[in-house]
Amino acid sequence: MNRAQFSRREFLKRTGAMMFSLYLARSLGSSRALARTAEDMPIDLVEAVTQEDGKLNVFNWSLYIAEDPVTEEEFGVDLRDATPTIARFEEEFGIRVTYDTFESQEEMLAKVRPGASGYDVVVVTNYYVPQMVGLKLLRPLKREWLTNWQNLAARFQGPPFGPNPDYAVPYLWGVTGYAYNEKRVRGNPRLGSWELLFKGREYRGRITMLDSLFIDGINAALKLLGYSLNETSREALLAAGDLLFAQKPLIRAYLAGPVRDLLAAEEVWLAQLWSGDTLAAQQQNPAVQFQLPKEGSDVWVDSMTILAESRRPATAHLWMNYILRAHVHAGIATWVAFATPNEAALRFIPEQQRTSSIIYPTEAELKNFELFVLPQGEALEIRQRIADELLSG
Amino acid sequence: MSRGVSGRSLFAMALPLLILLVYLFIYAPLFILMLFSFNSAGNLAWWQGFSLQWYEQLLGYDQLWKALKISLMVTGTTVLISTALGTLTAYALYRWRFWGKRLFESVLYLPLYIPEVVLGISLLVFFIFLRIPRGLLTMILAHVAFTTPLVVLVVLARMQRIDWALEEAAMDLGADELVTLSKVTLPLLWPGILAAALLAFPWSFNDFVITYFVTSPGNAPLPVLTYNLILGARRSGAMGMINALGTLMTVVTLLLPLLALLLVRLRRFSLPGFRFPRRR
Amino acid sequence: MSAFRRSLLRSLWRHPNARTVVTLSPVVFWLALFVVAPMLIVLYYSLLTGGPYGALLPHLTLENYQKLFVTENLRTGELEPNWLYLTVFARSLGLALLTTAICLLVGYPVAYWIALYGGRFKGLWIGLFVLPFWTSYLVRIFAWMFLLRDPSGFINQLLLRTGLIQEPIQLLYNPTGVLIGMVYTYLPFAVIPLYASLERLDRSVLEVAFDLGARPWQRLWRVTLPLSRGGILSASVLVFVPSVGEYLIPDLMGGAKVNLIGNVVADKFLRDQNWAFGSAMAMGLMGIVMALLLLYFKLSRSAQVFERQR
Repeated sequence: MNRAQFSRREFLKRTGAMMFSLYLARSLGSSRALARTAEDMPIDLVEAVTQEDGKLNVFNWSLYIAEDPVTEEEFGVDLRDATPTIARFEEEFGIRVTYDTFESQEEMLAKVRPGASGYDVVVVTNYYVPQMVGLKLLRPLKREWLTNWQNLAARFQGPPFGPNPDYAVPYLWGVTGYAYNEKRVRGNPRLGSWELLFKGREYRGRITMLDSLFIDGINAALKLLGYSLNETSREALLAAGDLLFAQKPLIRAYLAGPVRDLLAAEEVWLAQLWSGDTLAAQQQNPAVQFQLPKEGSDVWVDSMTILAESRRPATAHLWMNYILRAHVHAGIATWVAFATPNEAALRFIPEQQRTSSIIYPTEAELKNFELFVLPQGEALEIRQRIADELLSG
Repeated sequence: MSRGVSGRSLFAMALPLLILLVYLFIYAPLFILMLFSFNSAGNLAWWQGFSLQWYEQLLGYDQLWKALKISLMVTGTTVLISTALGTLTAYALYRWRFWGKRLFESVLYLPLYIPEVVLGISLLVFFIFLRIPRGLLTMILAHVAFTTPLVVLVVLARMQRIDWALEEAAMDLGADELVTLSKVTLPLLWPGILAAALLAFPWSFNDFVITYFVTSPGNAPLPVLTYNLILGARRSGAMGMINALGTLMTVVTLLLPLLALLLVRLRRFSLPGFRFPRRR
Repeated sequence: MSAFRRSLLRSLWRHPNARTVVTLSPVVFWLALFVVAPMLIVLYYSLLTGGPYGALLPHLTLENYQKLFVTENLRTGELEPNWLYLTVFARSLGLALLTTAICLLVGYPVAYWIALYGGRFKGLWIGLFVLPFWTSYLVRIFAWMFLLRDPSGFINQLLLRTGLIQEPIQLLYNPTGVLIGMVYTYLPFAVIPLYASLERLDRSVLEVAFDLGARPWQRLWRVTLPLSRGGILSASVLVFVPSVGEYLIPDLMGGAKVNLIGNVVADKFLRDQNWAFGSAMAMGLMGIVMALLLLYFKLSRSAQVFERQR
């Protein structure tokens, strides 16, 4: 009824809460508590947030945020001040977060593209950022609100690893490689190469490939053939298609989501997969290992973006700036076992993760790895058609 | 006189065995699922020991309660609206002749025949076209569209078995149409309407494909949550949770009709059998 | 006021056109808006041109339909029949046909037994048959996935541990798995109409056949089957039509390797963002279903004639 009055009261209440936590942290003098105060949030951001409705809708990959507390016993580091991520954010800022998940970028795009999806913050993989910018789905970032942006490692602050600093805040990164069951594959001379998945006849019916075939399947085949991921010539793509056709009789299924369980149950012995998912399967079954293919593969960066349709741009920035805090980002990366682009967060990551070449491969190990750029026009059509023929032919 | 039909022959003796196998085929998967929901190993179909851990995990999964709430809201509203709409329609179809009746009937049953993917995607495209945000409202609109024809079928089936002479008798005794409708016709139709509502409930509650296209992810009802658990089973132990969820849902479903049978007296209630339409 | 309203209602009710309009307008409104209009929009989209980033350009064209049948060979650049979609259509029809055949073969004896030998418990038997199908469709599919997985699924575990097989057999993520799922899902759609028609069957006809010395299989072939023709026809349509458009079972049990038309339609919309072509495919699927229904209505009319003649 009386909007102005209401929001002013809300404003006072919320800034009051922040001031109080600030005061509390100062007077306690502990660095841990200090990290939790709102002092990193610019006052005009806080003011803008209080003009909004106190809610935030986030759309992210499934199992891609710290869903439980990160404790000393379980992970070797204590990040309970920043995990579970959503609960801690809600506590500190009094914002109600609705958090939804998707299983593939195509699913995300299909839901977001028509507009009126209701989401504010959406996590987008690097090769879909240009497309979403092109479709005018994203809102430009207000960098002066992202005071923690400097926590990002320098290479993630701009292209290619920072897909588009005007629209996207790097969230986590990783590599696509393959998982294998050590007991079944031990001693195979092809281990280490994509050949194992494409030519391993002895594993017929025990191999899976990711279901975004027109991207991941073709990328792997291109790499095995010695091409770049971003090769757009018809001959190269058709040759990659031929490899995939020849591989089809060996394939059990084209899947992403259930692969983790299938690997752990030893129903699948070889699977094109992401590093973090493999590590999760490893926790259930230690025989599951991850391999970076020597021919190379893709490095991807998932970023947080704000949808153009969002009516809560300030709260969305608050969320992003919160994620960029060292402890928060470290908590997320530790829980999901993917790599954080946040330089300041690295020292809070448990030792065995930080030194793992699966999660944080070195420059040398990433020699043949590339960032994928989704082509438009003919190359995309050929990719889609090859995938169609593989799936339906 | 029935010796002719039940006469002993190889055929008649082999038949019960076959029937037994078919019933086994139908019930075994569900019973095995239920049994293994108490298994301590989540993704292995072999007995490892008794455990209630999947139930604990499931009931502690807050998304489940949210999804259940959404499902009940959508289905509850749908059943109310579609039962009312369907009963009116069945009445008009049964009693009156009107212009364009055949065309109307063929459009009316269309949602039962259109492939679910096509109807779901059409609705998605339509809601996007009109810029209606997807959510509870769009789910209800879609559910009423594909539930109403079912209600019409069931109520019509009941109408064909009603003794309409009672209605005439009421009129002869001086009751006008409206009084007859409310005092005679509706009470006669009541069991049919109830049966229709009882069938419309699982019809709407269990629908996945159409719902999947017209909901926004923030409003995932139970079937969509189940699908996410099955396909996106990246959460470890999802299999055990689905077993537990399936068991609970099956038990409720198996108990509900029994309850309905007790509520509606056994003799008046009969499953609206013939012309069973196509959705599950 | 109330009396006035009553008399208004009453005079309305006496007017045939007015009462029809009043009674049916809500449902007509609903169907027009949420069934017919969406289909028309998809029809319209199927005639548009697809642009970059999945945009829809307002140039009317029949190209999308043409692409269903004819395509450019990627290697030679020549136009050729679009074997890909023709294969998908053929596979969908074939799998639906197989499902229908199995459902009829399995469902007929069940319906026959319940209708003729079920005695007092007919209602109970048919009720028991239908009951599981009131549970969630997804849960039933998952129950089968749980049985069929290898090696950790129940069937493989049972066979392996009893030593009947040495190597696990693959039952899921192939056409067999999809077929099992489809038969399981659609079996009651066959049994119910079959039961309904067999139950109405005049037993005295069978007895006459018996008295005339017909053997059991002769009785079945010459008498029972022809008399239940209507039921067989309904059962076929009720199984066939949804099987052709099935989406979820190939999605979950086929491992994306046994795609049917429904899956391709969904892929075009969701994965490729190609609404124009996806719409054309959806219309193609609708066309098949409509053609089948027309055929059914034609056949069932002749079946009715047949039944009336007897």
